[in-house]
Amino acid sequence: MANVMITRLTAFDRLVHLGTAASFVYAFLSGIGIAFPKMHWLLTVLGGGEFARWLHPWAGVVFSVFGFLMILSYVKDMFFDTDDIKWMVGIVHYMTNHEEKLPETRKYNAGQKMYFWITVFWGTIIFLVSGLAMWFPDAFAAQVAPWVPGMGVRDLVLLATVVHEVMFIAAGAFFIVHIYMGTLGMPGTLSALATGKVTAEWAKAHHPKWYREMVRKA
Amino acid sequence: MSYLTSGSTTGLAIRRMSATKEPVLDIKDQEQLGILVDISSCTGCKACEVACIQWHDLNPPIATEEELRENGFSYQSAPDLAANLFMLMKYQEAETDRGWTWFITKRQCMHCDDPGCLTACPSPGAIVQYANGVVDFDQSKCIGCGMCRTGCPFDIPRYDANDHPFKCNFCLDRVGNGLVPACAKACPTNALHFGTRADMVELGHKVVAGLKDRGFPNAALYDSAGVGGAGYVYALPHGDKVEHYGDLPKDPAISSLVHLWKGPLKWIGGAAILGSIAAMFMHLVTAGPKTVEAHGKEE
Amino acid sequence: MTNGWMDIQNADLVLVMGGNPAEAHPCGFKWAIKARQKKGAKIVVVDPRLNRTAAVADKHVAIRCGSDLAFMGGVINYVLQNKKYQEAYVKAFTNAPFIVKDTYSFDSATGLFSGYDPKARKYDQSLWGYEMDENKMAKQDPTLSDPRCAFQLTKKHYERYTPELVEKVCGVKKEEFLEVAKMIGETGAPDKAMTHLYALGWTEHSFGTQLIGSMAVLQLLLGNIGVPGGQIGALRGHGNVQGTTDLGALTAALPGYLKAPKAEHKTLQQYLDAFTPKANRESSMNYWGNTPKFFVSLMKAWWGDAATKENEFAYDYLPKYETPKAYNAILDDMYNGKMEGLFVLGANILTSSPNANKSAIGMSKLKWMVNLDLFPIDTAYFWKTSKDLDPAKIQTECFLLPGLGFAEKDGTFVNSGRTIKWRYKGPDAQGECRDEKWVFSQLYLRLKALYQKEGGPFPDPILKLTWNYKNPGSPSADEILQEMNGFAVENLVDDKGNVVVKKGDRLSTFGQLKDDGTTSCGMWIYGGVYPPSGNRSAAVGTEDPSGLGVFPNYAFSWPANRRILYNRASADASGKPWSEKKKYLWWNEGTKSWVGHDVPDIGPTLPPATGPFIMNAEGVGRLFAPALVEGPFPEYYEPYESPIANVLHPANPTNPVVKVYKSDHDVLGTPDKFPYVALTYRVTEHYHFYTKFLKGPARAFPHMFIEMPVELAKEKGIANGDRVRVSSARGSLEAMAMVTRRMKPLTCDGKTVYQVGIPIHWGFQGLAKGGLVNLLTPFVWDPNALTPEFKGFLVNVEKATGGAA
Repeated sequence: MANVMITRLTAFDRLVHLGTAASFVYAFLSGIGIAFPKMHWLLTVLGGGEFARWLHPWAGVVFSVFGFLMILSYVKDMFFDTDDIKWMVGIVHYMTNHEEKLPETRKYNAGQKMYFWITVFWGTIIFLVSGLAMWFPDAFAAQVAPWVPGMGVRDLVLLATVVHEVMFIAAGAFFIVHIYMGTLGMPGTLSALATGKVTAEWAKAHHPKWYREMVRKA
Repeated sequence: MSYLTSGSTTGLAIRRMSATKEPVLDIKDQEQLGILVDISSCTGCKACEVACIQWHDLNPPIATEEELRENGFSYQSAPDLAANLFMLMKYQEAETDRGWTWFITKRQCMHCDDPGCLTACPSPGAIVQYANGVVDFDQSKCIGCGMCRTGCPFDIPRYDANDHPFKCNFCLDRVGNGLVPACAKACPTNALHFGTRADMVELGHKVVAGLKDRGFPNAALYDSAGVGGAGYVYALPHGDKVEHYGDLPKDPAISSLVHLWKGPLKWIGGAAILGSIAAMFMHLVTAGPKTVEAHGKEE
Repeated sequence: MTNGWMDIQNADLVLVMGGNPAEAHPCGFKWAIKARQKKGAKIVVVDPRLNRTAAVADKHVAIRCGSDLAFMGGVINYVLQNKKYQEAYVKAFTNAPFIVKDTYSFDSATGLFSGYDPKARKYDQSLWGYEMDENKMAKQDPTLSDPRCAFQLTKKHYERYTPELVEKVCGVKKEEFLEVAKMIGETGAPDKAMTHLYALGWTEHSFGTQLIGSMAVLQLLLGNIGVPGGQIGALRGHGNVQGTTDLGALTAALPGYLKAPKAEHKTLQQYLDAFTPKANRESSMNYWGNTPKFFVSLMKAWWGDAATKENEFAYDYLPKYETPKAYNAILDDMYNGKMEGLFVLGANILTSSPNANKSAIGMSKLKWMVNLDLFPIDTAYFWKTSKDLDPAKIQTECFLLPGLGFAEKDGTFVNSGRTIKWRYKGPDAQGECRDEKWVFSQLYLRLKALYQKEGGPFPDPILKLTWNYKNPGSPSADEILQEMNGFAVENLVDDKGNVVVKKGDRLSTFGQLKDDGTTSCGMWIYGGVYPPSGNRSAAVGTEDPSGLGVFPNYAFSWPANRRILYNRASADASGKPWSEKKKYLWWNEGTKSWVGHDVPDIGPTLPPATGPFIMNAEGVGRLFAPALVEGPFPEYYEPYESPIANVLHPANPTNPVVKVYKSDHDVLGTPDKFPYVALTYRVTEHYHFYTKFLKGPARAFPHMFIEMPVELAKEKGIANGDRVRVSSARGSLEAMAMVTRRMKPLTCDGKTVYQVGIPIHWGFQGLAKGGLVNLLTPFVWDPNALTPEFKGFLVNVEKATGGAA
């Protein structure tokens, strides 16, 4: 069984993931630099305050584009089933590395699915919409004016800012977990992003149902 | 273009700065400066507007007919404030208890005691409030995010092509050298009074009392209580029609959303990010990584 | 102004009628604001528009443009009927008690005074004098009860002007009119004064002079002349328009308001006899009785040693006129091809004269035209006025000389308050720009050389002209001001033979002038501006000892540094101040002289019985004023284009002595085709027709616009900001429409009257371009002052149909 590799991500999947990853990281870090005065130095690292503030929304655009592609290509594996609910209920076993006490997972476990729905799905939409509202307040206000009577441009931008920030909190926290799980927390995962392939052992250990499906298909 | 740099050229004491702890420097209190706009004496001649353009060496364009129609054709010279137009005379009309009335109002930065722009600005030191109350931008520290206009209850800052904000700086270079701001200097009818804010408020109350005697029962002093008072104080003959005075907000205040964003959300956000990192670290140390071997062992 | 700008702050009521000082005189208007800020004075505006002045006034009354005389008649009637006049003042200081000759009459049915010749469109003014006694003094009835006394005639004349008539003619509700009349009437109290401010809103009518005359009647009745805070304030337009009128830039006038000789005055004596009035009341100073001194000194200034007793002080050198050629005649002659050349300076006459099409056609018939100006003004490009003018066919040779702005040269400004203020040159001239003194000196020197070389029929006036300047090619303003001030040609001695002024020294006052050729004075009213001690116009003393804004050591007010004219009238007949509040000049019994806060406008030791109005032969003010050509009492007439008939005398609706021009281009519109009343005016952002060349002011108000009532716009389907076409019988233009409730429809004589306001500043030259407003205006002129009727003519307004102008 050693050295048997299973394709987890196609080249397209990986391209999409790298796209979201790169743009998200830049937007995430520059966002932190903008939002937190104590982290203002991050902007210097990212090219200088003015540049980073300028690039941040463009990184957001890139993230949105890849985010939508990601939604399209990943969504089929992201629907919850009853096992996922059981998994969520017993998530403490996952955290304590006692996955044997949890239902066996398919390609993605319930945690990954939540990450997908919150950070990727809603993140793409909410960051984009609230970001555009901040970026083009007048045009945006003109669009939403019929829907929200009495909403001034500044109110709208402020609301968008708050929404952007709330989304940042949710997506950011998940993102930290995601990074950890993709690297230190679960060795062998990063190769999926790099080569698209994971070892059979990895698959069997972390996603047994998916492993068996792959074996069957093979 | 000329960027209006602040502190370094004026040498004035700074009271607070954006995204920076207060006080910047614990110095003796200074008298806050103020301008009283006595609307009842203002004829809307635009001398202030022209003086402002001249003193700041601005070169606003000649508005087209189309632009002048944008916000309703009136005596107003330009459709809106602009990065190269720091103040604008506004002309509105409405019915009041004294018949049809022409509302003529000078609009510019109010120099709030509690400036919404400064509160909202994320870039340390990009917005400065001097000890004399003047609020100014330091272009060298601006990142061009646009939050200053969003945070401003009076909707004042306007942006250049580089997204840098511009607005009235109370003629900092003049007042810092003992001169009267250009607009007040140019006013031919004594409608603009310059002095300490306290004196202007006092004078304003006198003007309002005079107006009440003269048959303006609704006269009122517009003193922006919601932002802790402002450098600009208006004596309004029709205090019940604030909105007709060049769209002055009725109760100017920094939006609670700004406070939410700059306060609780920052704490929650910081806690969430740092908490996640800490949690993952704890996981690594206590539970350890989810290695394949670990799984194998279990089976 | 009879007082001055700073005196406005002493007013109890500031009546603005016929002007818009907040707009046209924003700096001067601060004194009205100050009057209110300091003393709670009221500001009342009577104007067709809720304008910038009205925006800060205590009361605004909308009136139909051109109906002001009916309003004024109404106020005069109100004051007389309700006994609001200051009786003691009226008795002592006006001609109210004077008995008027029985050849004077007024027919209220026709609206004509006695002596009208309909063919010549002229009155025989000699029918309107006083009844004289055997000493050639006017007969008087001190009780004012004689039906032929001026007071009773005034009362009779104005009794027709009821509040109901005012409402009918002016469109001002009776209650509103009475409210204003009451406020005005209250200033008849001895301790109250009204300042009246007016400008072109009153002069630019075919009856403009009569309007100001009506205010003179009212202010005299109220005792508001000669006292602090009481005046008739003529607000002059340009920075130095007062100076130019002082210097004789008027029809039929020489410097200092001396009359120009007519052809019939063949000798000096005939001229002096005609224009030196004789006192017709005891104790009248009759200051114009000194005319020979002023005139002879002027001739000495002009021709120096060549003006001798033997040659009647060079009287023959002066041109004499048969009919005065004013501005209107110049434009008309030009149109009729009777002129060869035109030299234009300090004016953009194409844009500022009525009926621009007529002016442009006139200019196209000239042989040459010179413009001396700071900018490429419209006049210099007159052929652009109309598509009908083909530059290829126009033979006029045009020159545009680069002139200097006021800040680029030394000189003086004389403001509306008659204050002569020296101003120093700022920046140096650019390039080849030259000031007028240089241009005219060069012209003169070249003409003189030609006369010297070639001779001519009558070279003396040119060859012998005094031209004693350090640099004859470019005299300095300082030298010219000294020349105006005057100097002693010979030693001047007093009664005891002591030399008072040495030969060659400058004079200290026009009181030193002589009619024997021993003094020279280029401008008698400026006498004393440049005494031996130096240039008083440059004085900048800021002391105001009285606290009334007098500032005697700041610049120099003609005459004799007097700040309030007729100031002797601030004290009663016995010389005591009318009230402690208005104390200004009073009689000191101890020293037997006049003392107070100002230079006395009366012989300083003349007894109190002396009349205060020293420039009138009567020594008192005139309610009955026979000098005006359309009648001794201002009578209400309609503008030449009016939407309604004359309510009082439809047979003679308009001023009967106005000259009527009948060329193809002198057409008048009728209300069926041109139903709306139009008036032209300034906006404060612009300075006539020249700031449009500058970015700053051009930006401040860039586009030609008109102001029109909401109701009219609705009828016409015009929205705020739309382009509209405004047309009159004479021309049309396009502009943006400002639709506003500040212009409200009025009901006059049962008709709804809409008024359209048209600011003037644009044209086809400059940064801010727009229609030439005077394409619309009629070629109709006030017969006294020869000011065009720019207020109250008829137009039509339609939404513009494409093809931006």
